[in-house]
Amino acid sequence: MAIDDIYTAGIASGWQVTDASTLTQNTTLEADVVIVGTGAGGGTAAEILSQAGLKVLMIEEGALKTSAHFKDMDESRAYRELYQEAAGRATSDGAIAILQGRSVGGTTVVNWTASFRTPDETLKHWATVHGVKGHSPEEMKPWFEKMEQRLNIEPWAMAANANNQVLTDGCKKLGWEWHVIPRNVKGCWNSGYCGMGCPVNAKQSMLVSTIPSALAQGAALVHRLRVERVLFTGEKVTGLLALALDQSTHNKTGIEVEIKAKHYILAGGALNNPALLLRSETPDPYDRVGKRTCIHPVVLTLAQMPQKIEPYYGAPQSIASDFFQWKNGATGAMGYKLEVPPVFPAIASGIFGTWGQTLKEEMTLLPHTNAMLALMRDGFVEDSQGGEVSIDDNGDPVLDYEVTDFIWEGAKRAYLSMAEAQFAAGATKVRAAHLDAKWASSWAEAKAQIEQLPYKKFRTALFTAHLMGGCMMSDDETKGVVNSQGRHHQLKNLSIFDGSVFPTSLGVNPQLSIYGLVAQSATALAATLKA
Amino acid sequence: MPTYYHAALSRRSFLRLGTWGTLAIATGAGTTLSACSSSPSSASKGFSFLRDNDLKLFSALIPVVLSGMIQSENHNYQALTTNILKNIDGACANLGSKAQGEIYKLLDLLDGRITRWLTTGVWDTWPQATAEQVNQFLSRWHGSSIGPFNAGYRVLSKLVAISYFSLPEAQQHTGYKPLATMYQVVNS
Repeated sequence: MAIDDIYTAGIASGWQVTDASTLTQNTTLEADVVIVGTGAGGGTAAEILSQAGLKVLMIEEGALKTSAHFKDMDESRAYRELYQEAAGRATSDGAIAILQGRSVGGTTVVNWTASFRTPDETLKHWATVHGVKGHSPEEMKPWFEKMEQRLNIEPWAMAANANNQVLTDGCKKLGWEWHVIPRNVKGCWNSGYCGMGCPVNAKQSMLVSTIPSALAQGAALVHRLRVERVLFTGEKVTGLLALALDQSTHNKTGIEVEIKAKHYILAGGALNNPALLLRSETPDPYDRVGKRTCIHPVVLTLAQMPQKIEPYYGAPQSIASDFFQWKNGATGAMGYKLEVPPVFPAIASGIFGTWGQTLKEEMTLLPHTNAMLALMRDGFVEDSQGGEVSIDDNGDPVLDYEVTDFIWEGAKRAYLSMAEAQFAAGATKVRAAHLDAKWASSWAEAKAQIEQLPYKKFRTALFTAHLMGGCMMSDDETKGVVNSQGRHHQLKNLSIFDGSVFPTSLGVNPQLSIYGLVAQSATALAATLKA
Repeated sequence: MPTYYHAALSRRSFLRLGTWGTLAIATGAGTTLSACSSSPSSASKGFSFLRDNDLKLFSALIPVVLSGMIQSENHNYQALTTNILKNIDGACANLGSKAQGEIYKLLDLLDGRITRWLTTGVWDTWPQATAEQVNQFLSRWHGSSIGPFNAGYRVLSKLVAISYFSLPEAQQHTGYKPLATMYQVVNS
C-alpha cells in the first residue's frame, strides 16, 4: 500500500517549496511574515498567519523528510536524519544527552505524541513569579481546545502496550494517581515508530498538518537554509541573513539568502533561538538571552518482567502518573511526572551502559524489559534555575547545565518511586540506569541500593527531550527577552513563538503547551498586522 | 589517588573532556559525508572522521565491548567490523564542532603512548593489546571516581554498542525486527 507522502502531490499542485541546497546564486526573498523554524511553534504560527491572509515564509535548517523516507522504520536512519547532531547533542559537559528534532516539522516529527495542556500550577506560577499576563488557565483553555481539535488530540483509546501497562499496574497496586495520555494521532496503527517519523502520516505532527495547510494557502517553505544573523537598525529588524546548507545539512554551500519581511518570528527552539540572537548581537540590555534555559532532566530505571513486554512495539507513551508531581506544591521539593519510553535496540544498548557478557545478557532480555522514566520539573525554585545557552566559535549553541543537589535529590526519589512501581507491577528484577546500579531482586534490595548510589554526573545516566526557556517571556523587561505576547522588548517587529519563551519547565511533555500559547499569540499578531 | 591520574589530569584539556559522556545516542550508518568539508584531511580513507589510529583503537574495543555477541572466527567478521566502524564514524561526523574537538582530544589521549599508559595502563599499541588488557581498561574507566574517565568510558562503549545494535545482524540477540505487519504494508 503506497502511503501518500502529502508533499509530492502538493508540490505538483504548486506549493512553494525550495530546497536551498539546490540554489546556485545568492538571492533575496520577501514576505509579510517570515518564520524561522518549523516545529510546534513555527508550524502553528504559519497556519494561523496564512489563514489570516498574510504572505508567510517558513525557513528550516533541517531537510524536508516525509513519510516516504520513514518506511524503512530504521532507528539509525531516524537519528541521523531527523535529530539535532544525529541525536548526539548533549549539554556542554556531556552529562545530559539531548534528543531534539531537526527537519521540516521539527521535534513534532519525532516526538512520542504525548499532548498535555500546561498544568494550572505552572501557569499560575508564571503569573505570580515571572510577570506573565494573559495566560491564566481560564485564558488558555480555548486555545488548548482549538489545538486539540486541530490535531485530533484525545486520550489514547486503545489498550496501553505492555510497557505502559507496567506503569498502570504499579500505580493501581500502590494506589497512586495515573491517567491515560492524550495523543495527537489520526488513524494510528499502534506500531510504536513515532520517534522515527510516522510511516503512515497518522501522527499529526506539523509536517502533515499545519505546514501543508499553510502551503496550500500560499505560504512558502525553504528548507536546508540556516539563518545566520538577524539584521537590525535601532528598534527595527531590517532583514535576516541566511546561508544555504548542502544535502547533508551539515555544511554551508556558500550561497547567501537575504530575507525581508514586515514582521519576523523566531521559532527555532530553546537552544537555537538564543544562539541566533547572540550571534546577531541584538539588544539585550538586561543580559537575558540564553538565561533560564530549562529542561526536564530525565532519569530511568529498567525492569525485567515475567511477561513479554517488547518495549518497542505499540503507542510509545499512553500512561502517566502525576502522583509525585505537585505533592510539595509548585515550589517544594522536586516534582516529577512518571512515564515510560519506547526502547528500541540501539538506544537500549546505550541506556544499559554495560559491555561484554553483561551487555549481551541484558540485550537478550530486551523483549522482557520495561523502562520507566521521570520527567523532573526544572526552574521553579532558586536551586533549579535551568542552564544557560552561549555560543561557540562557530556561533553554534552550547548549553551549560549544572545538576544541583536539589535535582539530585529529586533523581534519587524518582529512582525509588519507579523501582517501587516496577516491583509492584510484578518485576522480577530492577536496576537504575546508573554505572553503579546492580539488578535488585526485591523492592527492599532496590531501595537500599538506590539510597547508597553516588549521585554524580556521568555515573547517573541523564537525558532530556524537552528544552524550554532561554528567551523567556515576562512583561518586566528586566526579566524577559519578550513580553507575554511573545513580542521582543527591544525590537518591535520581532516575535518569538515557541517553547523558548517558557519561564520554567512545564511538568508535562511540551508540545500542546507550545501549540496553545502560539495559537493565542499568533492570532493576536495576525490581528495587529492586518489592522 | 594514583599518581598517573594526576599526570593525566594535569592536562587541562583533558579535564574539560566531558562531552564524551552521553553524546552519540545514534549512529550515522550509511551517511553520505564524502562532501563534508569539515572532515579532517587526516581521516582514514573511506572515513569522514576517524583516523587510521582511531580505527585501530575501535577495532580493539569492538570484540571486547561485544564479547559473546560477535565471533572473530566467523567468516563475515571483517565485514561486520567495518560496518560497525562506519557507524561510529558517521555518528562522530554528525556531531557539532565542539563535541568533535572533544572526541579528538579523547582519541589523541588514547593514541599517545605515554598518555595511554598513564590513563589506561595499556603500554602496547591497540592492535597489540590483549582482550584482557582492553577489558581492564574499560573496567578502570567505568569504576573510576574521576568524572571524565566515566564520561570517556560511556562514550567509547556506547559508540561501539549502538553502532552494532543498529545493524540487522544484531537482531539475533534481541529478537527485535521492524513490526512486520506495518513494514510489509508500507513497503509493498
